Amino acid sequence: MADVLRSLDFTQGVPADLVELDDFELLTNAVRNERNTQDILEYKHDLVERVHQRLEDQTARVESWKEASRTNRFPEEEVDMSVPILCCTLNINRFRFLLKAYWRARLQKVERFATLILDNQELQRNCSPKELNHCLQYFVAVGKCLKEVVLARLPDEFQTLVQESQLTETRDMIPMPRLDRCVFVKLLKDAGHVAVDSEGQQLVDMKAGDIYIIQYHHIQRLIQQDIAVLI
Amino acid sequence: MPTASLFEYVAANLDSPPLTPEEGTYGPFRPNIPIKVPLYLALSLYRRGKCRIQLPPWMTKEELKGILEEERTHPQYFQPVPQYYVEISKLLFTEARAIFGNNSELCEIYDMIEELKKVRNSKILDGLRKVSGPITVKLNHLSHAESNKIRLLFENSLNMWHQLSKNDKVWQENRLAGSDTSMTL
Repeated sequence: MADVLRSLDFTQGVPADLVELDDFELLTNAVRNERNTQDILEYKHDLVERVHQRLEDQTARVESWKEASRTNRFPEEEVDMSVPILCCTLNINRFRFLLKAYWRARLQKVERFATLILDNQELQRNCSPKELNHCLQYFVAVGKCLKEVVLARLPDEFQTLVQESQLTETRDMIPMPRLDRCVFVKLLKDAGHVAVDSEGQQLVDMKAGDIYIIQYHHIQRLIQQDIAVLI
Repeated sequence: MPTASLFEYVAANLDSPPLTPEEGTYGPFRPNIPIKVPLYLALSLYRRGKCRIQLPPWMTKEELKGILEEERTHPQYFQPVPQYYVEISKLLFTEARAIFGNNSELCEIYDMIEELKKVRNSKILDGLRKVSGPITVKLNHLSHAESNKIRLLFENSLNMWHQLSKNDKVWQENRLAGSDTSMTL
């Protein structure tokens, strides 16, 4: 499934490689994975940067075509640019929608689990710098609001944000993502034998194209390695 | 959720060969030469009267009859169908009725697709009745619309089974620990 944005580079002589997934499919898979699990997945820096850059280039190019058609710069050529402009505009809109959906899904999770992310170095590595910044500002803003509105009026030992009371030893009021919920997963490549129960005794040979309904934590590794996608 | 790129055959009605920035991707658009383009582009060009859409190969009467026969013959598993067959067929029925020729053909194809949906749905419900514990379910060739239909039901029921089995395990362990203590007393 070829990608229009890639082909609009006139200097490109090599045809698109149709065997590998193109950017649209990669971004679609990323959006699906983000929406179908509460896990904080790794931010796809390269993919997002690449798509963002090409979107900007193509938007500029479409604008120049529109300008050329309006001023009728090349009347001798009699070229009708309406179809290419339509095609490019539709494709730009599709990619913009996907990017926004990806960022929104991630930001919702970052806000929901802000306390956990700020506590956990590994999850911080999975977020982009802007997301971390937003996470911190969100936590500070919401924390301040909760303290002023509710916590300041409670007895002293109950005024903490992350514990039920100061008498509890663990920080038990931090929301955690539920990784044991069932998800629909589709295999993109063969994954070999995968354990499907908590004891690790029952193994299933997962082949490309199979669809399973399984607890997320059993296939977490497959999602992180892009061997499977949540549908 | 956006639909994936779905290719349809499109015969261009364009009067003159346009400049083709999509060259190498969606082929140059030439009048009356069919080319493959994604569904969204085909429908946009069709609405502007710039092309005719040809029926996808799987949506002919013969193909659908074959798939329906196979579905009825094998009740244990699903036949391979396009992942978005429900969405594509709905869009083509509502926006591009003219491609089906006369009304009777349109009705026949519509009826066959509805029948296919019913047969597959009944297989899914049979499978659901057999779920009796916290198991992993394999559902190959499930289409996207069907997976959305059963998503809440399957996920929530399996989540509940897993929770019950976890509670059961904890209760068993506590019982064994409790019975050991009573033996030593």
